[in-house]
Amino acid sequence: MFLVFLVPFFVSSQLDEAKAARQFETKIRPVLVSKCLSCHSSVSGKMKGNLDLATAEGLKRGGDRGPSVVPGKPEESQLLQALRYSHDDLKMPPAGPLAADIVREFEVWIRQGAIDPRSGSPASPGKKPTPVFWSISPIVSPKIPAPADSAWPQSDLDRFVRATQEAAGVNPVADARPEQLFRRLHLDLTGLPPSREEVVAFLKDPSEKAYRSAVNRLLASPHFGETWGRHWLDVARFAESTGKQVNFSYPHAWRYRNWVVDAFNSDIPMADFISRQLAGDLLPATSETAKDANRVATGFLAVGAKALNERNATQFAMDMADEQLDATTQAFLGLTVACARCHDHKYDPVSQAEYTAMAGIFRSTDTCYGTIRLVQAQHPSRLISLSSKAPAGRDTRSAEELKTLTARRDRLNSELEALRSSDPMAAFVSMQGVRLRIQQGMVQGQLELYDANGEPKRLAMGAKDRFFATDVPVYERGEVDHPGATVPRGLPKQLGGTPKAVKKGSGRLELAQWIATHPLAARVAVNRVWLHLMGHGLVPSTDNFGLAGTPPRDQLLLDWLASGFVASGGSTKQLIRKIVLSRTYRLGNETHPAAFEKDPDNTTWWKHERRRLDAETLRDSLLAVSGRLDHEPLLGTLLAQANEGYAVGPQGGGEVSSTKRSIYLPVLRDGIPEALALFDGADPSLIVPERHATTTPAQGLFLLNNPEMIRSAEALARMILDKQEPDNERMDRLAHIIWSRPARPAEIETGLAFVEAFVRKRGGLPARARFEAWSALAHAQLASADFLLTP
Amino acid sequence: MMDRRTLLSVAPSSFACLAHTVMTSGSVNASNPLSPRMPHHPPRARRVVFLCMDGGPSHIDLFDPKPALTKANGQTINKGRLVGAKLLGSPFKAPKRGHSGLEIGETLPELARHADKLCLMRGMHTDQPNHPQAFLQMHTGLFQFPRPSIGSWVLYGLGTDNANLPGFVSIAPPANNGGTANYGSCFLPAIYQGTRLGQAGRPMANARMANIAGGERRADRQRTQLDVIQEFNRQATPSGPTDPLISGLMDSYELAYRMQGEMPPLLDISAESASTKSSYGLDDASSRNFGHQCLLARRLLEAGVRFVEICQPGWDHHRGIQEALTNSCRAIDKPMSGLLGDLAARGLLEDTLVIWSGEFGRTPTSQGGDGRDHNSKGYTMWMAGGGVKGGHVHGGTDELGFEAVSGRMHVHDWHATMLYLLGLDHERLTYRHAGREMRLTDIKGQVEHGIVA
Repeated sequence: MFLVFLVPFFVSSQLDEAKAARQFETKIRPVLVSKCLSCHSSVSGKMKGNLDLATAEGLKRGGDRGPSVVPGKPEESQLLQALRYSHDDLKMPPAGPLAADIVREFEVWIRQGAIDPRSGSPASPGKKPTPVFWSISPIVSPKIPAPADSAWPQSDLDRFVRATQEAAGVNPVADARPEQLFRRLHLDLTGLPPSREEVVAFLKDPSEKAYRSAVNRLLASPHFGETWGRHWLDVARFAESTGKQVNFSYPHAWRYRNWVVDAFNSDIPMADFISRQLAGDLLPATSETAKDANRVATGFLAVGAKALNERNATQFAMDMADEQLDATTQAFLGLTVACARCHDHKYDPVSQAEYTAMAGIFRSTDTCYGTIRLVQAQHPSRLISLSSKAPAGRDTRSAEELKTLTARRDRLNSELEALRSSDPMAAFVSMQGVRLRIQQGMVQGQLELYDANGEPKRLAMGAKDRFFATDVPVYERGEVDHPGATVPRGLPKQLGGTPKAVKKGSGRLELAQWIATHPLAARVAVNRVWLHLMGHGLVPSTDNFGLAGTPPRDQLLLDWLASGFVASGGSTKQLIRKIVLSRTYRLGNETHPAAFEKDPDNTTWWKHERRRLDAETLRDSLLAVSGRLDHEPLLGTLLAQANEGYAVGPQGGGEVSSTKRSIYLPVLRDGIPEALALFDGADPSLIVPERHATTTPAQGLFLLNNPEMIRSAEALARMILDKQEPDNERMDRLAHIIWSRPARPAEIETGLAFVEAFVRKRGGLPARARFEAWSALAHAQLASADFLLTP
Repeated sequence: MMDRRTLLSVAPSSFACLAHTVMTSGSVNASNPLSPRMPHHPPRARRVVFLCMDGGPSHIDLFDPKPALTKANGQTINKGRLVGAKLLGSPFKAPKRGHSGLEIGETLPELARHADKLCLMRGMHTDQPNHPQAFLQMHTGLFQFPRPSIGSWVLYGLGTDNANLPGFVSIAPPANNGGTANYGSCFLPAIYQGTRLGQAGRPMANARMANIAGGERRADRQRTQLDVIQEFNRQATPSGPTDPLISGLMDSYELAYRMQGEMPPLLDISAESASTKSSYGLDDASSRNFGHQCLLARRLLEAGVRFVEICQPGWDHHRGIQEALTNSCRAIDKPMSGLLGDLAARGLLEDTLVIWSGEFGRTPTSQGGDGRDHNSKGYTMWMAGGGVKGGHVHGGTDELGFEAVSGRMHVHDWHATMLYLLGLDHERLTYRHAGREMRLTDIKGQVEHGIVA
């Protein structure tokens, strides 16, 4: 009953405010701009009578004569007196009185509270109601429902799902077959299919106990962190180059990548996962190694895209702060706070002033990302020095190599000097000058990575607090040449959670505390885990939990999972275990016409959602089944030229020769490897909570012809021809390896007929013909639905 | 059944959703989100060829002659950042050409024969006089944030006429200045990204499309192999009577196979007659490479590709503009003329939009005595063909060529106009991303009806 009344109240007062804001924008602001600001504005530079009408704060404060507006009281407001030309010594604008109806608009506006949305907080007295929006309200663990069908559920999770299904009038399909489930579990948890031996063993004993032990084994596998870490890198917009107009390398970004993998493998609590990335440098650490790790974690703030050729330093700094603010709020909270850079947020309760208060936190942060000063790159920064215990990530340089490099740099230096003294202009614009400067810079970019003994410096990207914290002005329309009133650093007040005041330092500690304990952090994290395991999110708009997003399909289930997640100390592994042990996760993927009729989009999870393998899982599986995968993690980077300076990479992606897992492939902005780009790999310049899953002819061409496919197929052919066994058993072996299941009789028939026809048609050396035939068959299996789609 | 218009306005959030909507309507091939779509209004052009001039060609020396500048040659001027700069009159004449009397620089004699087909937009301007920013803005509308390229937007809006070919091809794009972002689909589904052919600075004759196998024996063997793949797909774990994922996969293989059959012969220009090749400048070393690109562009357009971009680098004439510009023009003059003539002769020009533009223009003042610096405040681009006025001049710069003063068109306005000519409303061609509806023109752009025929 109470709620019923509360909601309309909130909605209507919000509407009033929106109306008032519109009134200001359409009736009042245009007059201020055209008639007043040329003389009374902190922006135009003229502030006659010390009156600033360009900001809400200034308008409220007034000038030498005192307040210009008294909200609610037109007759006491000097602004209106001036417009009415009613006082002899106060007539504005000086060129002549404004039209009567315009003056009347001002009167109405003041009477209604003189709401001036430019600062986000109205000049009117009284308290703004706190928005009651589902996503930012505290998480309350709901009661576990008791569905009528009490036999089906195997866990509390299933009770939520079954109750929702009953409400929608749909029934779940049959459970997945053991081989389906086993393959699904492996792909989801480790991004790799099970080995043939594991499949054989599980199919011999597909018991609950065997399933649970597989879950434990996979959660403990080092490949778990590589797969779930990759999901996080999608939202962390991780890359190893600056991107944008001139692409410079981030040769140390890999440390952050590996920290993320380790974080998922060691299952660090979600709150720590968040606060270390935002403020790891400010947190206590018990050992040097832990301190190193905390600083590396702040790489989150440094790996974003940057326009190194931006000429305006303020613009560059504000763009970087904006990028950090955007990534932080989207990645952790699922909110688009950065929309408020140029104007108050159109949907969510964040004003431009509150945006600015947050931007101040990032402007007070020293972002350490490296790069060097070179043609078109004008914003190098420091990097963070780690302890000597940190891994080197690259080979030591011998004294000779170092000497050669130094000599080369010095030679280029003197050539450049010679050119400068003969023709200063040429050193700047001529081809020769530009080439010399680039060559010199690139050599310098190598030298900077080593100490005097040729030992790689232990450097990392990340963040530190600046010595002096700075507050930032509100920039009119986000334009840096239109600064307004300065806003003290702080956190948004209406966005939920428990924002604390920023007292000293940049405010990143307060930011980290606010986000790590925010109900959205848990809801967003839970939703993403659900998405990766179940095919679509409990909240369909995975990228937006704000007012413009879509409401959850099942808020009770979401909040139950989220509160359990928080209660477990924010353990991702426990959350995943809870889901994969449910009967819901273990459903088959066939379509029931009756259920399809009622719920075609499967919003009640009556079947398991089939998907195409994501780009990394596809490539890694391809390498794994053919025995070509290098299972070792990578300490370092596969960037073609792992130095400071221009990023060098194959144009349009191209082939990558490494057989490491895909998470270790070089991530060049605007140049991710073809094998990943073609299959909807994340664009590292975007924050990608959910990937597309397209099916395109270009993918078909890749699967039919790419040398990687052929290499894998040939390796498989060699593998099975080496074993002395009948052809039908060979075919069965291939099916176990590639599809994680036995071959069906019809498949054996199809496969063997193909081999026979192929050999007959090709002729020539029988051994060669058989090898080619089996390669072609393995290739066909790799290109088939049961390999490419999740089971 | 939902029509394309409704589909566009509800802005499907993913291909899966798009495919699903189309699928449930049961009338369009579900696996092909590239199938042709209804535009918002009747189109004037059905396909685009964009001749991209990388580096910023001089409007003053090519399409926007300035007699006052010639008169003031050598005088010193102070203007903005240019302090004590010397004015540099054009070393070239720009005679009136065609019935329309369009003035075209003497370095482009072949193109000048098509003067009456060209619509010169002399009032162009862009945000930054810096290659990377301006180049990216020309291709994606913005340089501050990643956005889909123009070709991807067009493909998303219209689909393509030949499903057996990629709908958007970018020939010889540069690796720098944003690289793949200039033909990428960004947040639009990957199916709308451009297919790259060749690379800037490499001979076109060696250009191949990625992952296409050649040879007839190979094709024959592959068909057999594909049959097995499809047989396995049919036998694949049945997940219901109609599994859209499996049927989509099967269709994509058939498409890929047909594309593999169609692309290599399309890229092979050996069957073109000697006179055609000659008309594109293929028999002259200086114009051979761009001529090859133009000829490929025509073949692709004719075969049903929606958007083709070709690129000629080397327009950044900071020094020795007289010689450098002459050389750059020689590389493109005959090929462009060949392309315009060929398109017209085949009846394709009337619904093909031909676009020629650099990322900005150049200063009327000299740099190093005989070159020109970047100028984002005023430059010329031209369009021809589908729906634009021929032999027409729109807008202009001040008397020295510094700044666009009349008929001003920002890059956003050009994008809006291009979409308009293709039958698309730039304010309705949207895609939901990061919580809001995104557009090629962001929040700007105005259709310039003054250039529409």
